[in-house]
Amino acid sequence: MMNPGSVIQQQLADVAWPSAMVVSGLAFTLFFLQTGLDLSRAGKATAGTVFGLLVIGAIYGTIGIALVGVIAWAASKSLGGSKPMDWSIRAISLSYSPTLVYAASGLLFNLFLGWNTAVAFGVTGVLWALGPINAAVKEMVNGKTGPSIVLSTICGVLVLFAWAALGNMG
Amino acid sequence: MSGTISGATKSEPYRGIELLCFAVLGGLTSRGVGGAFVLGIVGLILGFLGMMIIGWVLGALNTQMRQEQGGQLIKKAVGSGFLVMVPFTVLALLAKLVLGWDVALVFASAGIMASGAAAGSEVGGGRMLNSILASVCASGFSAIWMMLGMLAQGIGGV
Repeated sequence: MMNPGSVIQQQLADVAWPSAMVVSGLAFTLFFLQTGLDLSRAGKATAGTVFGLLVIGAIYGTIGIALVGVIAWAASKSLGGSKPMDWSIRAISLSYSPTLVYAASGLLFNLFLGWNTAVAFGVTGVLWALGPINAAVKEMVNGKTGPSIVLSTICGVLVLFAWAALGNMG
Repeated sequence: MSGTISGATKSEPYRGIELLCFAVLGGLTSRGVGGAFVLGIVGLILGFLGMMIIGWVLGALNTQMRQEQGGQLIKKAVGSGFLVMVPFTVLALLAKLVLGWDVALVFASAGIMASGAAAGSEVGGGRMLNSILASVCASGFSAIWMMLGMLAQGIGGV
């Protein structure tokens, strides 16, 4: 049976949470780097700003996304969920695997073809993480659709606004 | 193959929230208030048709399940899968109203694709084909949504 929850559970069994955080960390590092490169190309950012955005992306993709995982875990506990906190951090972090693929592809187009890729590749990649996040959260709340949708929405809103705020800092 | 629909889906009524999401995303595609209403209605109709077609495809793939458990259950499973549109719709709404980003088409496209895959896995039935074909249908649906949205913004000027 094609059950995203059990597929995620099987995949997570062998992944340590620091390794999972590398996935989301790298995804947002590359994404924020592209934001910096796009701004630099438009004459709105110095090399220092680009580097600053890269660092912000790395911190956001690791600590920030892990915090979202902790919030999702705490919320799932209040809804009767039984998954441990490290499971939640791993699941939410690994949900950004599609984002990493988009960000890496975007960087290639950015560097070799000179395209502005932060929006086209970055935003799309971040959106593609919502599906896996929903599957993971649904597993955390014992398959209940309503609570999983509410929790996924909260996770998405947290990521969106933190991303918008951090992007402005750069 | 008889197949199964998740217990959660069976127990949950068809809410129509997913159709409301399509209406909101259609409205957000517009650049004017008057056009928002028209595109909202178009979005609702498109969403209904898209979900109906995906339901037909999944019903045709799972004839035994349809006969044993009724077509309504497949419809409910598709509706439950398309509830994944909710986070995308809320984010698109907040992005437009709070952040001023005009990205409703991108959010709708990604949401439709994610929802299609979720609808296929809601039906399950022991067949990966359900998820694959539902995703393929959702890709076509998403492409049509994008094209019509861009046409409405570009040619219609709504």
